[in-house]
Amino acid sequence: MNTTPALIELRQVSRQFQAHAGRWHFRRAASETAAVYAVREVNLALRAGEVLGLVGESGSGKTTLARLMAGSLAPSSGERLWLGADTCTLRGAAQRDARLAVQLVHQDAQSALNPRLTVETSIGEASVVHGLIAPESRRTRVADLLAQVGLDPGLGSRYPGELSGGQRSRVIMARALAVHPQVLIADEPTASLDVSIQAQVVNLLLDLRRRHRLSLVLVSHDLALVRLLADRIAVMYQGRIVEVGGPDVLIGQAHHPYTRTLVEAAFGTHAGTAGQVEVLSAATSALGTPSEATGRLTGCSLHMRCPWAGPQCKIIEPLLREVAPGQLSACHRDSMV
Amino acid sequence: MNTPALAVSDLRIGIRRDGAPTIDAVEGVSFTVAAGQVLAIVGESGSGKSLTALALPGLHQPPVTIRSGSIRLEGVELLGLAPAALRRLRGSRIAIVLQDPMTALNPVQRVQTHLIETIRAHRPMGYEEARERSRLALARAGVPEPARRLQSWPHELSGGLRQRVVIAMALVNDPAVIVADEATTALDVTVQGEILREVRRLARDSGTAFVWITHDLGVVERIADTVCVMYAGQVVEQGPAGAVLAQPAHPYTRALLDCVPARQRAGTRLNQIAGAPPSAGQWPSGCRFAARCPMVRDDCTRTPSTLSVLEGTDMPRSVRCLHPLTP
Repeated sequence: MNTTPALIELRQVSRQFQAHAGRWHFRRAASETAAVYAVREVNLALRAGEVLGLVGESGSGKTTLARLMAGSLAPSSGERLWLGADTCTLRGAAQRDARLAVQLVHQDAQSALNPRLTVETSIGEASVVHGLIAPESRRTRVADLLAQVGLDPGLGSRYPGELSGGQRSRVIMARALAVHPQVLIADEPTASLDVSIQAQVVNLLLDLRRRHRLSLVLVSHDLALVRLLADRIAVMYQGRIVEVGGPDVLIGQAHHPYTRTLVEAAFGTHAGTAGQVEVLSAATSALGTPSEATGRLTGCSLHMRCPWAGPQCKIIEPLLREVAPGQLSACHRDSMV
Repeated sequence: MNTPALAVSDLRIGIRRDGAPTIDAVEGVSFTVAAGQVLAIVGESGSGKSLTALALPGLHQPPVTIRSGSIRLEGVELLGLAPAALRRLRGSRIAIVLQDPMTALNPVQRVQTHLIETIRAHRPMGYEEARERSRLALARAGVPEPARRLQSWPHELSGGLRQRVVIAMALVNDPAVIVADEATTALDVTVQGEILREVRRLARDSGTAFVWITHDLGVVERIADTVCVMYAGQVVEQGPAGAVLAQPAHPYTRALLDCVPARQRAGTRLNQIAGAPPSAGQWPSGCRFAARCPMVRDDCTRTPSTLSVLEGTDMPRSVRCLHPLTP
């Protein structure tokens, strides 16, 4: 086995948020407010140099997990390790280095940029604050970063409102690169971009990864896109990771029913003849609509929607286990009698 | 019975700015949709597809104006129609479904209020009868437990259910045409797939004609009979969806198809189209795609390209390219 520790490792990480109904929540006792688990008991490691894809539907906890991995959100329970060391125990320079080494590229480039700061300030500020560059050299450093993401260095004096969507995406990538990270966590980097621009941004991400030897976490709802880029894909459903595997295995021999649904939704019409599509579609509708992530904690979170659900699915929560070399799945299916 | 549900010819939409000459944002758009057919209009942002969508039921607002052309709904010319007459058609013969279902629903009205109001705005009908009709519309739009959902508030519904309610509102009066502008873009892929299936079924069973506006070629592939590809305010290619997607004749259609992740092989860079589309008012003089076209030739930048019938195909197809790709 590989003995070098993973760059980032999450161990039994959960994150819950308090859901309070309406504005009178402060009158209620703590026991009455429902806790919504956005992420539940996740074990996941990012290995050096890999591209890890994270897919799931909206509300599955992708963004929360991305923020937990980036360290910008503290887990409610469980621990986050950086190079094998619990990040809670790090102090001083070690803590700062661990934080700078992982940079989050936010989902919506529009709201991730302060509209009142110029591009140059947005990109260069963190480097100056952390003493990575002298304030005088900010302009040249930012010009260099802008060139690296394929933008005209002259854009430094502009404000975000003057840029197109594709340009803003490039700016937030330049900002993340400014502090010499080892890991980029890109949360839906292409959402809200046109198809032709989407490909440009993804290619840029891949070029940067190669040039700076970055490891990459790619969060997306688009399985077809993630399949092209990722070395490993983790599928999330209602806060849990339900399947992990290489892209070919996951698309070709998905084990978990939910992964199959996603594969069918993404590739249904490319699967071949019309007859096949019809069969796959029927399986999709059998799954119905997802329920809220609150409440019931027993059993498999998919059992209400799953056409293959058996009696034990309602009682015992399936854990991730190896179903094939390099493929983990949280489903009781083949262990059923 | 040969009148198409919707026939648009040579539609030209302009944007008027104070003190500036009117800019043509959309020009020369022509298409017909027969009952029970689904026409998809595909394009990227700025291509003029949403302006076209809003103009069809006459919902465009100043500074957007229709400068010329014709929109015929079941043979009736909509351009130049008095506002009151247009209002009688809107919601009864032609309906629209917009991208964001939350803003299309009134947050302080129950689902049934939306539907009953839509019915009774167009014909006198008793409350109970209208309510029953609303329940049937919800069922046709694929809403589970329609009787219970009539009582729901919009915030109680998931995004997919909300969009189904909006679709139910659109079809409650059995319109001839439903225009949908990016109606599934905000939804998850699995939910999107289900709604697209319902739309196909509605077109087949009720004979409703759909104009489906999208940027997603995967959606086109799933639901459309015919397709119009728009770029920079013009239709660059149109024809039967299957033929156009299988053998695109315009380099832009080809490039757009090559960008779709589901059609690409893993391991390499994604195919991309270099540069960005021009914006309205800054149209180049020659072919509008010339600056980004991988197959550009000298005459492309000088001669404006016109939409002409593609020779050598058995189905009616047209393409706006001086040097169309040959199958």
